[in-house]
Amino acid sequence: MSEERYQPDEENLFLDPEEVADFEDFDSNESKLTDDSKEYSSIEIQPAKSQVICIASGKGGTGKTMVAANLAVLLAKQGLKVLLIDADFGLANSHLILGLEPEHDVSSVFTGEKTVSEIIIEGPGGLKLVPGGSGFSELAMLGDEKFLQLIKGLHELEDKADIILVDLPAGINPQVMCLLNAAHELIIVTTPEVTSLVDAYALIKSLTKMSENIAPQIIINRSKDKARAIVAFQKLLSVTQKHLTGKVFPKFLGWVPQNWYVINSVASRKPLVNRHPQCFATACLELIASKTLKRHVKWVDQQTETFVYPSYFAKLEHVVYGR
Amino acid sequence: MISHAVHTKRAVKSIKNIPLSQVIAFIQENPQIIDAGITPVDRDLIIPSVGEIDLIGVSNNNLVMISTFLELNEEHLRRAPSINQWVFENISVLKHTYFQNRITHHFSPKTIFICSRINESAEPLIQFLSDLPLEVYKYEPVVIGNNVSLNLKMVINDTPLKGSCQKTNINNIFTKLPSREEIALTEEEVSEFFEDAEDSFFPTQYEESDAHVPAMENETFFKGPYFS
Repeated sequence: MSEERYQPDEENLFLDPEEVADFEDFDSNESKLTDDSKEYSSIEIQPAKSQVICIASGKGGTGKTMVAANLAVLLAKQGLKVLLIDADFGLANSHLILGLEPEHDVSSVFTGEKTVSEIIIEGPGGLKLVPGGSGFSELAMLGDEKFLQLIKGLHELEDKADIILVDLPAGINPQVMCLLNAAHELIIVTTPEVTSLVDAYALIKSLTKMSENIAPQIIINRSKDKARAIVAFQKLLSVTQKHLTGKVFPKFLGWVPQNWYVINSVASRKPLVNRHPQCFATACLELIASKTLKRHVKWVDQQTETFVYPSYFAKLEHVVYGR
Repeated sequence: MISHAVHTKRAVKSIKNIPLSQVIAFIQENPQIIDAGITPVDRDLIIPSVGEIDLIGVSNNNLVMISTFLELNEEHLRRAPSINQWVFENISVLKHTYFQNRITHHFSPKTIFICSRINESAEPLIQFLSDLPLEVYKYEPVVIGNNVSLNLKMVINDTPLKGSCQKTNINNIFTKLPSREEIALTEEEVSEFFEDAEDSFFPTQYEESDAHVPAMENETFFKGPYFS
C-alpha cells in the first residue's frame, strides 16, 4: 500500500489564536507542577530524576493505551529514555499495541519471582515497557504491601529514564486517584462522545478535591475531525470553568482521528506511528509528542534551575503510604 | 517508654505531666501514630520535632481537617454548636468512616495520640477512639498558670529538635481523598454536557479522518472468514 505523506499543518490542527488564548498556554505557571514544587519544597523527599506523566481517562475505551503506547514510541525515537508502565494491572494491553510478547509481567513481581527490572522488555524505538499482565486482580484489589513492593522496584529504575509514562486504568478508584495526584504531569484522553466528556469531567472534578491548580493536558481521541475535537474540548472547558472556577486549567494537547489506519495498526499489533508513519493520525500524534517534548524540556529546566520536584515514586512511598 | 501511663476505665492511656521530650521520643518510636486533638501551639512544637505522624484535629480550629479526614460533610460541622455535641451526635458516622478509611484508603494506624490542653473537648473523641482497635494515648501538657504556650516552649527547649519536618501531613493525600458527595456530578453539570449535543455535529462534506483511506480489499485485516 502506498501512502502519501500527510504534511502536518499546525494551522489546520491547532486552534485559532483567539481560541488558543483560552486553553493552550504552554508558558502558564498555573500548573500542577508549580503547585507540587511549592507543596513539597520544604519536605525532605528525594528530588525527581525523571518526569512522570500519568495518562488517564474517566471512561474506558477512549483509546488511552493507544495514545500512551504511540507517544512512548515517538518520544523514544527522539532519543529520550522512555519507560512505559502499563498500570492497568490484570487487564493490560500496551504490549499488544506495541507488538511485544513479554515472558513476565507485574504478577511475577507480586509473587516475588522477579524484580521489576527483570520483567522490563524493550519495545519499538528503544522504549522500555513494564508489562501490566493479565488474569489477576486489578489495581484496586492489590494490597498495600504488594503495591508498595512494585513502587519500590520502579523507584530503583527512576534514574534510568528521562520520561516515565504511566498508562492508568479507567475510573476514579482511590488507587488511581493517588497515582494521578502524585504525577508531575497529567494527560487525560477522552473522545468527543458526551458520556466520555462527562466522565473526563468527573475525573477532573475528583482531582480538584485533592489538589489545586491542576492543569490536565486534554487529548480528544477518536474524533471524526478537528471541528468535533474543538467543540468537545470547548464543552469540557466551559463546564470546568463554570463549576470548578480557579481550580483547574485544562489545556488542549491535541486530537487524534479515528480512522482505518488506527484500527489497522491495533489489529496488526504494531504501533500506529510505525505501521502507518505517513498517515494523518500519526501526524496528530507527532504534534502531541512534540508538545510533550517541549514541556519536558521546560520541566527539566525548572527542575535544574528553579524548583526541585519530588520524585514520583518517593512521593508515593512517603506520602501515600507513609513509609 | 512512658512509664507514667495509666489505664483509665476507657482503656485510654493518660499521659500527664510527662516532659514533652519523652513524648516526642515515644512518638518517634511508634511510626504509625495518629496525633489527634492538638492545639495550634502543640502542633507548631511537636510536628516539626517528630515528623512522621499523621494528624487529625479535634479542637474547634481543626474541624475542617477532621472533616476532610473522616469524609464528613462540613455542613454537619457548621450545624454543631460545639465539638462535644458534634462528636456525640456523629459517633456512628465516625465509626463507619474510620473503617471505610481503613479499607479503601489503606489507612491503618496503630496508635492514636491525643494532645490536648482542652481536656473536656477531647473527651467525646477519646470515648469514640477507645472503642477502636487502637492504642490510645492522651497527653496533657503541664500547665503553668494560663500560659501553656510559654510552658511548652520551656519544656521543648530542653530537647534538641530534629530540625526539619519530614511530613506535614496536612497535605497528606489520604486526608484529601474526596468523598462521594464531593465528587458526585450534579444534574446541572451533567445536563450542560448534553446541552445542544444533538445538534452539534452535522455531517460535513469533507471529513479529515476519511482522507487517505486506502482500498480496503488490499489489506490483510479485511481478509478472512468474516470478510470474504
